Amino acid sequence: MPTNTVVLLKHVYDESQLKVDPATGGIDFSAVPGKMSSFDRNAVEEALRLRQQLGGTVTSLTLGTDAAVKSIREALAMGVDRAVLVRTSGETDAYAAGALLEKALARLQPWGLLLCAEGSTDTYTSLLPGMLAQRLGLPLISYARSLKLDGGALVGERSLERKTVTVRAALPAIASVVSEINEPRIPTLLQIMGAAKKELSVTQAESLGVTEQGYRTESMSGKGRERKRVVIEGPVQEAVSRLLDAMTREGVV
Amino acid sequence: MVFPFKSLSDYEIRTRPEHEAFRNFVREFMEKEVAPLVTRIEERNEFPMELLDKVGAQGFQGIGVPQEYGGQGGDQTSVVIFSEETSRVCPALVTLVGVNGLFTTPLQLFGTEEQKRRYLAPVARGEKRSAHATTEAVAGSDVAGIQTRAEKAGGEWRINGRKAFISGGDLADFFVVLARTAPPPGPKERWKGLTMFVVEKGAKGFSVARHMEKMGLRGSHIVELQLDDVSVPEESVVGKEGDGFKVAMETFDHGRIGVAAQALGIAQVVFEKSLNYAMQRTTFGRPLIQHQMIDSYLADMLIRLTGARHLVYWAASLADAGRTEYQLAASMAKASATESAEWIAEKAINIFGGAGVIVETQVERFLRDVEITKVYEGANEIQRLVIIRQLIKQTLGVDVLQA
Repeated sequence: MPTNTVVLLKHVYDESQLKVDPATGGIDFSAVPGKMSSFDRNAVEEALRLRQQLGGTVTSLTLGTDAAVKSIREALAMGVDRAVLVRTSGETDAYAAGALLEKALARLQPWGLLLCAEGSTDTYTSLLPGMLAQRLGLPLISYARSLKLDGGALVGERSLERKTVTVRAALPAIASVVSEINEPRIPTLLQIMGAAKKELSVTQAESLGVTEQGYRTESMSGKGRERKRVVIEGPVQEAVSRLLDAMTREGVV
Repeated sequence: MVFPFKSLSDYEIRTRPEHEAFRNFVREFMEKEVAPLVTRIEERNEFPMELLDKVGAQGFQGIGVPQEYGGQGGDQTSVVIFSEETSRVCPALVTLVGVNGLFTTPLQLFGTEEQKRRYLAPVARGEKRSAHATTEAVAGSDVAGIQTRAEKAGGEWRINGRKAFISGGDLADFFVVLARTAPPPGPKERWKGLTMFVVEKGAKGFSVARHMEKMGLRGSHIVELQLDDVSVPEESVVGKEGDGFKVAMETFDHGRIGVAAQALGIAQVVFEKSLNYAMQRTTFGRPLIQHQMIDSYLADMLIRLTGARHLVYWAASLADAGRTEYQLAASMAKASATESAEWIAEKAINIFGGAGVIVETQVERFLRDVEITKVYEGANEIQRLVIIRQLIKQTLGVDVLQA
């Protein structure tokens, strides 16, 4: 029996293009281009890899504005079969996102595997995998650095700070992946052009009947990092010991 | 009327979101797979075969080949994007991949169904490599002056001659080879009596005679090919017997835009490097970017770069729209982009100073690489003839040489 997979996909600001006003700490988001959240590409790659064994389809699910279509098309080019965009008017906090995605996932039944990244490369709260597991009542293999199917179960190596833990969960299950899990494929021109013809369905977030709201971002500012630019001069022996002193004072050695 | 075109909208550049996505993915591929190997490629004058296999598997050899023949079914804008983004990292790779286009194009335009099935698909899928052999030591721009000959013997053609400056000839499995099959009817009709053939590697009497050392594009090699009584069947003729000149010329018309984009990628990368350096390097107590003469250089670099980019993508848009004015635009784009790129690369060395000629700075190689772009696929002197002759033909319907 083929098993379908859903992969969560987020369109984020390209963090390498953020410009912070050094005087005010303000960030001008208007000029920042968007891209697929980096680790989501690993989640997509893993979904496509596991599809070979699961035999079902891979659907991407995105919460976001119309700007997200760019990233969605990239995932379709990589090989995702169809995509769903739950259209919002702007940023959604993690709690509301969990509630919206729960409803959207119910509409995508039947599926047996939900894949996502350990966190998104913009706000990086890493809250969503756990919240969805709780809402859906499904097992979660978080921070997975490898995943494989074994009978009807998903076996994952979890990458934790000082250790790696191997766990097994019966499907249906959720897994969040870390970037080491794979090397995302680069689609060919043919696949990119083919993606324009694949199904992308759009649902208005309001139509899902979610009233929950968690928090609202009041302000966001960039932090400048002042460099001290200490120059130590003099004969080498003396300079080295002064350098060591200075580094010890700063707490770096 | 906006002479020599009908209206301002004739100057439009048309792109789709897929083009931008393709650009991003080509850039990612080049920065991830090729950039880390560039120093090694330069030093050894050789591409690792695993890298060329990856390039082939990514479909880059078949961007312009229709899907039904194993290609990507891309338009000229896609070819230009590939060429520019690849050149930004490694111009030699553009040549190595581009020579396949000089093989697939004549087959697409003039080949029989059987030739297309046999040769296009494996090249487009990256399983085989190919090259184009028109040029000889005695005839470059003067294509009709070639001395390689083919004679009919029984049901076969027997080819004799020597080809020179053949890019990628050492790696190719398939070649198109231009040969004279009949004497020209008269001195004014030298272009008649030429025929294009497909020749496969390993054919008896066909060999790589010599590797030629050159100044740039390290890793991409040019060779001389020797043909001694090479027998090919009647089915090897591409197009009609005697139409070889036309086959060659139309092939070059198509390839020209790829060379323009190769130069554009060079101009782009050396401009980026120069701007970056000017922001970081300090002389006379202030950053280079605060020196007026440096700013003047950088501004002129950007003016030329932007002008070239508009010409190149405009020419591609005209080609994709099936407009005959493409030829005029492509020749302007080729002359402009290659000469701008050379100027920009030379100014980059002025900005970098002594560091600019040091190999590890990775600026000088682009100046070495850009030189041949002014020459191959129609020398810029020839482009200028084409520009004026096409202009007169397009606007007045008159052939300048007959007028």
